Amino acid sequence: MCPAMDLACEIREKGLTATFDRRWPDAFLLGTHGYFLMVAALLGRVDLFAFGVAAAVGSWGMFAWVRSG
Amino acid sequence: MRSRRPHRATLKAIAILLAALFLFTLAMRLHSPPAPDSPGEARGDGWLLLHAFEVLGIVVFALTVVHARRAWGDARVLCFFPPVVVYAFVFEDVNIQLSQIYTYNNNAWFVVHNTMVVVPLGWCAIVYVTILTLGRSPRAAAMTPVEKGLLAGSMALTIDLGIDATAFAYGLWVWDRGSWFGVPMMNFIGWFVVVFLWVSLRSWVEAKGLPAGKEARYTWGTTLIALGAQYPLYGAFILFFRLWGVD
Repeated sequence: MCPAMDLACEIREKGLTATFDRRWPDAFLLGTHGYFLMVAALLGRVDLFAFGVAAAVGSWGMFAWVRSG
Repeated sequence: MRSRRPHRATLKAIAILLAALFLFTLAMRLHSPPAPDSPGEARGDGWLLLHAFEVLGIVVFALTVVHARRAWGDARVLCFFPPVVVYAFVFEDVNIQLSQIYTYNNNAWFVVHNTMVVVPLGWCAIVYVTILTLGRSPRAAAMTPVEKGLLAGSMALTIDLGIDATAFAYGLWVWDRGSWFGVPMMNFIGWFVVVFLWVSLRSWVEAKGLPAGKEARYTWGTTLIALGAQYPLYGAFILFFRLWGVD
């Protein structure tokens, strides 16, 4: 599921403060990768955008893997 | 008695990291992506994205401190943030002067000596989210400090892999030379080494369960150790990759 939608749903259900306490690392990752994907898109750099998406997926996946278990 | 064998998750993390490094260097040997055209020259946008990055980065750091106060309490925040902020500023500023291969955009608003303020603050925020995630992880609970450091270094590296090339392409900072979209391998090595060292030593301190005052002194002491130890470790990695012909 899209991480941004996931966070938005949780904010709606549990409130901003509770979501902030629980999901700040996710919001941080989303914001950081999202900002630089936006920059790559504004620069018209398809190669950097594609690589950024791959890195964001890998980063998100690694954090999720660490949290699980 | 606690087993001295590495935790299985750590072995997997190391294997993933080594595989990624191998593929990375193989890709570099097969094809070197071109550096962007004229990074750092005037963009005609008033450096809007540079200044937005600076302001948003400082806001994110402030939110990180707010989160840490709520999650950890003020005593632990005072043991964590002052040393890690000093560590980040010192290693960044020293590395710029020692390496002489990169500089920050001289249009940046918030600069201390040679360093754009948002960069070490952003690094601190990244270290915080990795430590927080490790602290909440059942998988990491049984890991040794070194294992946590290896995992934290890998986690931080995955973040930098996604952003550094784009930051350079826009002109947030300028590298003199680099194999990966203009970014040198030593940048990624540096990211891994500094996070690995600080988190390993910090995890060792945390495991001792010291009272707040003593924990703060230990953390400052290990920060000094990390500042000294990073250079030989960093040098060893760079030598290894240069033997592969990767810059």
